[in-house]
Amino acid sequence: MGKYLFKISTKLKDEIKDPQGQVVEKISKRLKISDEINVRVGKYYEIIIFASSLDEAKMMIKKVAENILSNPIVELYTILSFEEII
Amino acid sequence: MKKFKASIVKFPGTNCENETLDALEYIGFETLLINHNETDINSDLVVLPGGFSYGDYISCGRIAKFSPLVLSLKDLIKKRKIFILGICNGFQILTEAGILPGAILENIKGRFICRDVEISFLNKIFSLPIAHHQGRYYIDNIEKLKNYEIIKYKNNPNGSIADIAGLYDKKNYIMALMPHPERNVITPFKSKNGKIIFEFIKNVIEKDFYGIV
Repeated sequence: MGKYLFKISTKLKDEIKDPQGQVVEKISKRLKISDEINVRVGKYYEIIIFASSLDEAKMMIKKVAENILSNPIVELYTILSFEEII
Repeated sequence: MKKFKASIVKFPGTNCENETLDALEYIGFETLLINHNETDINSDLVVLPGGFSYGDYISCGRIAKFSPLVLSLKDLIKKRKIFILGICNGFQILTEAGILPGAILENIKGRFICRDVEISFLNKIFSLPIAHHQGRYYIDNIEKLKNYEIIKYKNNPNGSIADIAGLYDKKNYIMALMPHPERNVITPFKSKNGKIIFEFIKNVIEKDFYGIV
């Protein structure tokens, strides 16, 4: 049995307006940090999962991400990284 | 006069169940508060009331869609005539569960909105209170709603696509809306507009389920 660490992020699809992202953009402009800024706000997850192989772990993580962490109608998830940990 | 049965579902974090229960009692339903683990439902109406089921973890309604009751609803709709009503958080749960199309997102201005709004339903315009942070209805193709009766905002408060405040699936008897009709039925000094929604549902059950004219 292996122990795997997955780092996952979710965010709204690009065609959907993101009010929180827009606020960060607005404040960055107001503070004169940058006029050219595009922000999308999302969520970040770290999941440790036990599985017999990396492939099995990936399948399990896919189910978690598609069903619990995101709503496929409006959100996208990205597996940022994965590694076996001891 | 026959009393129809209504089950009001309580999830951890639901907080509008008592008003909903009182309002339905007033309209003439025999009411029962049930737990979200229940799957043996024998009522005419199931209400998913407003609130913050599971603390809105991940997203509103995301966790509640896995509750035994919500998972059993899809089969129940196919098996027999049952009316399902989702109010506010109930609407969010029904879309998350895929029982209604589309999704509900954070309000366009990112604010919690708590006030009375005018809505139109079945050629009537009346006001009802809303209280939500995540009420912006979204669907990728509005054509998918052609078989639905749409409850519309007169002045869109949250950026919902096509001013949608709620949906009514006439074929499967599923209604969901962001405004809270239960808050305007017996509350003193408030309008009694919530009765329009509940009496409509009662009439549908009377006519379509029991053939009472």
